[in-house]
Amino acid sequence: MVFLVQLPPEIIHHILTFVGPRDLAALTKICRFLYSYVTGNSALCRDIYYQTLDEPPSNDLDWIQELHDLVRLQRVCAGQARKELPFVHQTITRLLRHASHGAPRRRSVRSVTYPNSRNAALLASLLESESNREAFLARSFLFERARGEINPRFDDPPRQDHQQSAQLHSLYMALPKHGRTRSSRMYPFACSKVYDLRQYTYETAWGPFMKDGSLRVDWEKVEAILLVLRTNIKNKGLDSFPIFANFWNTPFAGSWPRSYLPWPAEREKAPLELEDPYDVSGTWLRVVCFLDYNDFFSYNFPLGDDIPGNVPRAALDIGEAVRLILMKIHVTKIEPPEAGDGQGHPVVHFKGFSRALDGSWDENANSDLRGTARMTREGEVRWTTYSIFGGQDRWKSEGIQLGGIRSARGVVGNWFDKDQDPHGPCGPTAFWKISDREPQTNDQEVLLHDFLPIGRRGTRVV
Amino acid sequence: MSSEKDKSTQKVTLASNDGSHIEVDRVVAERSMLIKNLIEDLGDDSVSTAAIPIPNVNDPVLRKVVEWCEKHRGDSQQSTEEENDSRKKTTDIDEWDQKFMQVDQEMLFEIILAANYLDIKALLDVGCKTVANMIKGKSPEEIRKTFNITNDFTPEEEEQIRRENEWAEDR
Amino acid sequence: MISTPRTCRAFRAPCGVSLLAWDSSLTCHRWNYLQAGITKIMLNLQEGVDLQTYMGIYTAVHNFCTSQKAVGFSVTANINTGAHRGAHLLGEDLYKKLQEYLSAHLRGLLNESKLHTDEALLAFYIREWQRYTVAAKYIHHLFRYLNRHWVKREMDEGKKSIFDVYTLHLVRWRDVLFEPVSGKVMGAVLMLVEKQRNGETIEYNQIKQVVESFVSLGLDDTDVAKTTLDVYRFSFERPFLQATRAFYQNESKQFVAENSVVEYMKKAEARLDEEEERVKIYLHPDIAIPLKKACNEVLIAEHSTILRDEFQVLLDNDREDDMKRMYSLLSRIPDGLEPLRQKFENHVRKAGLAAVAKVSVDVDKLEPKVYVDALLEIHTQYQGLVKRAFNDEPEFTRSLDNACREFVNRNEVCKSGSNKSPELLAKYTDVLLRKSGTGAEETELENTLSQIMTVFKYIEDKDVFQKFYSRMLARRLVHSNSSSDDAETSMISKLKEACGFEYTNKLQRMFQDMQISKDLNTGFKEHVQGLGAKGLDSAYSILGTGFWPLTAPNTTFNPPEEISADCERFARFYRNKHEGRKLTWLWQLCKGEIKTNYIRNAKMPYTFQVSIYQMAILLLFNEKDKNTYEEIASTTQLNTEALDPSLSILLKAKVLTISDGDKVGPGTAYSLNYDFKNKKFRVNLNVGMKSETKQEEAETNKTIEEDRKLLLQSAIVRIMKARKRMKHQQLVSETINQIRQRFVPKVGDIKKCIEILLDKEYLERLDDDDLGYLA
Repeated sequence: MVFLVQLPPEIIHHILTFVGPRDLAALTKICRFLYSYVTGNSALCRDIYYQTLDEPPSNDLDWIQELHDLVRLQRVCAGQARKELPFVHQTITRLLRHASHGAPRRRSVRSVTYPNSRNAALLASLLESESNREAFLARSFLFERARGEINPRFDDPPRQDHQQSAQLHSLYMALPKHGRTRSSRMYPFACSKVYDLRQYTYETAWGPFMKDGSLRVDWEKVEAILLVLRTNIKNKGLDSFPIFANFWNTPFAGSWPRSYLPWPAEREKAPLELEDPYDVSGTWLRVVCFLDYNDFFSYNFPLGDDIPGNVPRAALDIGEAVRLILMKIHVTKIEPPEAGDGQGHPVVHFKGFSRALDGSWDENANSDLRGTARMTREGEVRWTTYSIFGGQDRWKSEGIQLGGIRSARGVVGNWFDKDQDPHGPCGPTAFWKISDREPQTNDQEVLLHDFLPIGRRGTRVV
Repeated sequence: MSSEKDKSTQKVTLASNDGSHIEVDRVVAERSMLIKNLIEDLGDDSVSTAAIPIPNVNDPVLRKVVEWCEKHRGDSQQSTEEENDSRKKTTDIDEWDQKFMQVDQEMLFEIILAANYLDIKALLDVGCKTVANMIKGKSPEEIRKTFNITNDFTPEEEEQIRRENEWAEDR
Repeated sequence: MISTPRTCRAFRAPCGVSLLAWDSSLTCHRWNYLQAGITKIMLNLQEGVDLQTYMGIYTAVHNFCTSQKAVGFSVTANINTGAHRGAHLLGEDLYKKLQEYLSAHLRGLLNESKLHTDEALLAFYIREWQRYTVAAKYIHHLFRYLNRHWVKREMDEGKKSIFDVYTLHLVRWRDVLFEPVSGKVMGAVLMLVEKQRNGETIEYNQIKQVVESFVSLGLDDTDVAKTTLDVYRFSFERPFLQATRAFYQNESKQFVAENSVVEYMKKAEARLDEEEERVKIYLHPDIAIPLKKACNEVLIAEHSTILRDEFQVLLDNDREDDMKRMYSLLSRIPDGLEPLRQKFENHVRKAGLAAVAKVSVDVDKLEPKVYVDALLEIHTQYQGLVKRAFNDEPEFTRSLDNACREFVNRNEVCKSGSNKSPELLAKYTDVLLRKSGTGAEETELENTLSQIMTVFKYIEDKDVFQKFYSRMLARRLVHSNSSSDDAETSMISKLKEACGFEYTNKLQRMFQDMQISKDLNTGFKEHVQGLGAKGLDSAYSILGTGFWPLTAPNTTFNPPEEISADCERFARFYRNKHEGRKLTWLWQLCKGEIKTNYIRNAKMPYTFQVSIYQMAILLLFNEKDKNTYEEIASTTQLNTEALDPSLSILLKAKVLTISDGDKVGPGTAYSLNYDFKNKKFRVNLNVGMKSETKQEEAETNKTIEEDRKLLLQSAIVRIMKARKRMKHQQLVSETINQIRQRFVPKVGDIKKCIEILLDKEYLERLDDDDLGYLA
């Protein structure tokens, strides 16, 4: 008679790689042999990790701790332990950082620019229940205000739990259709933050950054911007196009580093492109929303304005205009980081142009572009763009790349007058990459190839 | 050198360690990387007349293994490259294999050992997954019962282990 | 379990060193069995391995690795000791044993290798390499169980010095055998190659196998999945390149001492081809570039001085093939061609100057065609050379252009006046485009015009060409003696292509005017017929002021009755059509025909082609046979400058005779010559005097200077208007840049123009040598 514990260790190992992380605890309780086999067995934990999750970017994680945290996360989500937000925040962001790297690096469908990820799928399933979303994704100032839970005063600095929840929500970003936090309810409050000129200061670089000049991301700004853009995209029916739905209706859509899958998959890169860690060269789809300037002005400069600086302006629901823009850019110069940047990553300069995709003619959407991508000291990728008309800069934008370097999720941030005019205007914007340069591409022209990922229905929009 | 056609009709004989001979198609036998490499190294002729001795496997187990190989003769062989990636495969087992693995525990372990020895990756996986499924989601007591294992802990040890496992506590 | 091997061979490799330290499960007996099998595979694979042995070895490896179970698991007394002791995999001992066995085997080979030298060593190395790698593949398969579990685990855990069994074989070979013998093997390789370079036939497959072996050993110790060429580069490429350099250094030095440069070039070319071929036949492609570089250096760069010194000789003797050879050799080394280009440029310039000197013995009598042909011949000759010998290389073309620009603008002919080249070129064009021209075929004409453009490209003073060209075009148009409209248009469009719209704008307008005039005349004729009046058979040309290089007549003139009536009618007709336009009669360009009926003994009446001045004079003789100078002058109102030449021609042609003197002037009188005789019945009396054209040239040259001043001033104003403020020096160079398309301005002239503009208060002086623009 052969017993389980008498099998050669390599076979026991092979068997145990197929059990779940939670079974490990039970196994140690069976007998001394299995206790000593499993306890501290890093190789086994690594193989179970690989069996359960994506291949992480690095090979030297603390595999045992990783599995323990995963089990704890699952447990917390089963019990909606609101007080565990810091742990949930830390574990979710880490699992996203470690999401799919080993998957085949090509797209199966043109409009899906990121790979399948077990990490993302697992996290999405954990947050599927409304109660979990309420417990972890709807805890920012914005949500509290919308629920009328608090006497609305901006905290300075923002509360950590507000920020953590906003960051998780920004990475998740698929809005609930029902309930107290459905998008139509949140939208006026998000607008009130996004179009409030007081949020745009020199210290924030007029972008989604903290007002202390540190250029750390203010996730509550990011969350508000995403909410506004998301509602507009939905109202315009754009989320029926795969290239929108894949981002704006899908939880954790490519919100992790290096998730962008190139198209075409194998192309010859120019020497400069090879040195560009942000992979800027290519075609990007951009959404810009704006208020009518009269509305914008009267909202920000009402008669008899005596509202204190730390009290949010009233909810705003007067409708915006939306522009869909195709950006085509290419890297032109790579320089070492400046003193204020995160070191270790260069500053990449790019040039290009943008063209309006909607039928409506808007000269603001048809311009030349220039800009930079760089790393903040906090480790987020910061994008600055300038729209150029007749050789003169007109609009500027500041944003961060959701999910980190080379994420398919793309960049989200603010646009504003290039001189940061204290009278505005300003608004939300986001752009995400849809295709790469063809080898013999013309950087001055929009070609059919650039549109392809938008899909057949998408081309009709043009 | 034999052509592809010869290869598909060629038979080889496997000799179990208890003296029985089992004739199978060469492609079936080649589900075993061991036999595949052997034929590659020693040449087609070496196996056309003589039986291949399988010194570690007895007749009932070898027949069971051959049955599985016959069923899976057409499955695409994994290349070595994919092998490295195989840890990402799911724990699902298809229906036929589930039935095939409905044997007593001793036979199950024998199949696993034979698959491991003969280097039949897919069969080894199926076997190991079958055992893993007998562990998954079970309590320690259930597992002990399934595999006929005695609890050899002292009460102090049990207490220590309970504390060590607080991270997974709730069942 | 395991069948015992039937035979036990004597082992060449010694048994494991420390059997006592061996894990009890890997007994000496078991290892001896494995070792016997491995040795058989290593040494006698050709005898074949039977199924039992194969399965026996595999099973032994498997059973060893799984023997932990057989040993039995001893339950630890306490759970807190030896955590996951049971998870430990067996295999390390086996791996080490195999590693030691391989080292011992290879040390044996190393000793044996010492018995061989040169080609025998090479043969030995290749034979053993092949035997070893075939065996390695077998053993890799037989030890697969070790690979699958123990090795894989070690590698997963990031152990750098653990390899799969096949790679282990290669690593051992590299460290034990290859390191000490590769130098000697390489020596044998190099000897073989030298033999081949000396013309012997060799067995180059051996070298090919050595290359393959060295490349296989390029293992990346940090990542076994990767291979590198480092080992091969260090052990093969490096000595190979060294030997190649030494060989060719030696050979070329000797060859150059005993042969001509041309012979050497042929030799070098052959050697370079040969080495390229060598790479294809038995070397690794990785060596192609460094080998080429080494050969280029030794065979070309080190002899580049004597090669270049020979270039002038080849140029002087038109040795095109040899120049081509030299070009292709020197093009292979960095900066190899620049000295050739300099010599070439110099040579072409001298050839051009010599060609011009040859034709310009008497500059005043120089035919434009002869001059232009002389320029073209040199250009054509050397352009051909660039194409055939220098691969049409742009840099050589530039040298050619530099040389041509020099000898076109600064040669013997230009000494008499720097405008001579564009002037002669314009004149030659006029000759070609005039009706009385050579009468060349249309395609031939087109070709010649293209050649004109070749020279035109080199002309620096393009404004001079333009002046002369437009003057001559005006003459061709007004006198309608242009050979064809197509040729004219073609030439204008060529100029436009070269110099742009502005340059040819006026020329095109002149053309248009002629077209409009044609239509106008048709309308006028219909108008006259409609009136029922009988007019002259007249034609008028309306030439737009400002487009034509023409000025109003410098004499008063009273046209004869017959003419003035028609003229006035036309003027009325025109004013009707274009109200407010002022017409100025350019009498000096008017001409007509007069039929004679007074000449005695004429078979047919003569027809005189005359200028309108001559016509006015001759018509006076309808009234009386003799007119005094004063009478003619007062009736025609012509001043002396216009009257005297007109009379002179009539006298010279013997239409009139002079009395009361022999030189045209006051106090003389003129009579009709009734006995006029001429071979032709149509006599052209409307011929300009030599002195007239001379004067015209002088005038043209004078206007050029004035135009240039204006051009410079407007350029300066334009620049300043854009820049608002500029340094003096900067303005000068910017102006030169803008004007260079038309002519090469002198700095002094620019400075003068700046002074003028300062005076006129277009510009102002600011501090620091700056100039400012005054709006």
